[in-house]
Amino acid sequence: MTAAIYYGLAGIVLFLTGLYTVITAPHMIRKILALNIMGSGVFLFFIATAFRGIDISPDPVPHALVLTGLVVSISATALGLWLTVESQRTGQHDARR
Amino acid sequence: MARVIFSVLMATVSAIVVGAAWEVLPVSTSGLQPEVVTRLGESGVSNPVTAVLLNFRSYDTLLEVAVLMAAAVAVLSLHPHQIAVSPNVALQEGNEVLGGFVRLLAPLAVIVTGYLLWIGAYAPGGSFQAGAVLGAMGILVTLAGIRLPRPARIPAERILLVTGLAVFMAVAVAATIAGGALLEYPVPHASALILLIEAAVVMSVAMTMIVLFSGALSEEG
Repeated sequence: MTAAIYYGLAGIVLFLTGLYTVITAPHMIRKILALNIMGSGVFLFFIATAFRGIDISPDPVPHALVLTGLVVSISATALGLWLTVESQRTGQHDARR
Repeated sequence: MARVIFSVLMATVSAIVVGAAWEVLPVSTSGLQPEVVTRLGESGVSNPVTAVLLNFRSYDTLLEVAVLMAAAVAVLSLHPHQIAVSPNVALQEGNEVLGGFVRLLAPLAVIVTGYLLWIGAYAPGGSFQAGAVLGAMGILVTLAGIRLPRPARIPAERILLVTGLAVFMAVAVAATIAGGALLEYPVPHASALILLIEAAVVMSVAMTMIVLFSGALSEEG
């Protein structure tokens, strides 16, 4: 049980680190990376809740959902980065704001 | 200063909420694990995660494949006109070290992809892991400047992008016509159908990763 709690706490710390940066970072790319880190925190926390004990196999449903979430997360990050690059290139928007 | 105070306040509130959620969540119960184990025999695979992903909750996975395709299409649509390749993803034409390395690595990556795809039925692995390996290899190949000529590349890229979703949808519809619910595979054929879907999804995941990484490059001549 203790191992799952450490992983869960690490997930919470990652999430909050990301949340802080999303709010305070001035630059768009740092915000996107911070969002990604927030997502990683959620995944870590969710995986930790699937722990059922040393000798019992973990709950597979959270594992499958995190696998789904990982792919959505990488797509969202990539699309966000491309939108930032594009808005910077066309000069419609200052990415530092 | 107000911004920092606000963030600290929000972080504290979130910490309390998440901590409370951790306490409230029934960690001691077994969740859906017994249900999955009970009906694992009907799923066609012996790895419970793959069973959940591609059988018990395959509707989620179908929509996820659609999300991937939508993201790739969105990235491609950002570049209606040919633009200059940004320097950080410039092609390494004539870089013999990278080119030689990629030529050595590519066959190995394909073997690892096939292994991960096959082992997903029994152990950790599966289409998304296999697709990630193949996609990473594709990005390396792109960076090394090894590319199909444009007339062949654009249709190949588009076909590979939709393969996963098309095969998945075809299986879903076929299952309905055969008399079941949407995505309710007939038990004797479940193994083969899951492998078919996974093989198609590997192609689309890999192509999506390549497009997400090098969206502008793929539109270049």
